[in-house]
Amino acid sequence: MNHEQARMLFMDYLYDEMDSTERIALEAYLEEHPDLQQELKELSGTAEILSFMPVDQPKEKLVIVPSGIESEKTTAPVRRLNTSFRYLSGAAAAILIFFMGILVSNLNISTTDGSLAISFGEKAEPVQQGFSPEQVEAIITQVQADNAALVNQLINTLQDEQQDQIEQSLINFASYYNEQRTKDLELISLGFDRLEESTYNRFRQTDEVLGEIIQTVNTER
Amino acid sequence: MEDAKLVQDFWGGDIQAFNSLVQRWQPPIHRFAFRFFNNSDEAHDITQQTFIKAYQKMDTLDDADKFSSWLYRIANNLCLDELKRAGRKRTSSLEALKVAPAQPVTDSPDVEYSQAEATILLNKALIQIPTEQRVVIIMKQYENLTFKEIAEILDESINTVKSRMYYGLKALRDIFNQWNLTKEAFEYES
Repeated sequence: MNHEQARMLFMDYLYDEMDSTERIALEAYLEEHPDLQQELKELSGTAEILSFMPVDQPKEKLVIVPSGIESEKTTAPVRRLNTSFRYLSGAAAAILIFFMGILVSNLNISTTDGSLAISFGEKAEPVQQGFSPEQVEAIITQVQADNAALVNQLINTLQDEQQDQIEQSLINFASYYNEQRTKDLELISLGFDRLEESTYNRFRQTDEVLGEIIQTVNTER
Repeated sequence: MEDAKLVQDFWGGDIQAFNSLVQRWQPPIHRFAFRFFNNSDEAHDITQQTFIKAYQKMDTLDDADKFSSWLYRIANNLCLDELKRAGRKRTSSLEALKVAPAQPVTDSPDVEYSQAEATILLNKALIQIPTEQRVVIIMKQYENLTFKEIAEILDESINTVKSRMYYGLKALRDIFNQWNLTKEAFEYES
């Protein structure tokens, strides 16, 4: 026997589920190994503490099958009489309270032309049912007028928005055109300035060359 | 009358036989569910559901001699289903229990608990260990089932069951040591 084998027998030993031969063998091994003996003692103490836990017994019989039920291979659930009785009692009490409430409050319930009327105290006077043809016509006229006004207002709003957009587009185009025209004029002006400057320079250079030639000719004479 | 005879009678159409089985097995199933959840209401619900299911499925029981194991299996599965169904809610409440012992835990060996406090701590300690270990401990410690019967109920090997029992007890021992909870707390009222 080794430690593991001895431990395997601990539970059988604690709960007395081993024969005398195994018991003697285990006890002999434990005598030689105090560490295992101590472990078994601790486990035994733990089991002893567990035995102090009190028992909670049900105070009532929880399940009863009525004897009137035919039981042959039945699959019907067992009736929980206690629970059912509570539910039935509760339902009966609720119905009783409901009817007592009706009596006390003098509840009136009546039906006329397919409608249900509930009232307390004296019977309620029948209320007007629906609208007269004149009222219906007036309502339709009113709805049509409202719709027309709404549509009109919507169209006006859309027109205004469209007009604003067109105006804004024209303004933008005019601005762009003016800007472009100004730039073109500036470019043309710049071109003329450069041409004028270039022409002046050429005249000046020609004058200078002619002046040098005349001076050279006079000197040679 | 033996369970097997009552089951046979029920199969034969005697409805009172089932009532006799309920009367006999209601306390153990309720006790098991109560240990599992540490809650009376949950234990009531699980007990009722267990017997309703047993009534509905009685024709699927293969061997009348194994009625008790079959019934415990139903109860255990219902407990696990309930634990899974209300997982988030229950986890949070159990987590709260885990981090909040009834009395501040100290390393001092002088800490003494009253019997009531010790009982509360005992419940809390049991909830702290893994579910599969808790189930085995409840069945062995409180229901006095043999390891063979537990293995049959849980559809596990006997060695697996013993292993869970061993590690469950070790885990509880560590918790008790951490909380300085000893058997003296239960024996003497402070």
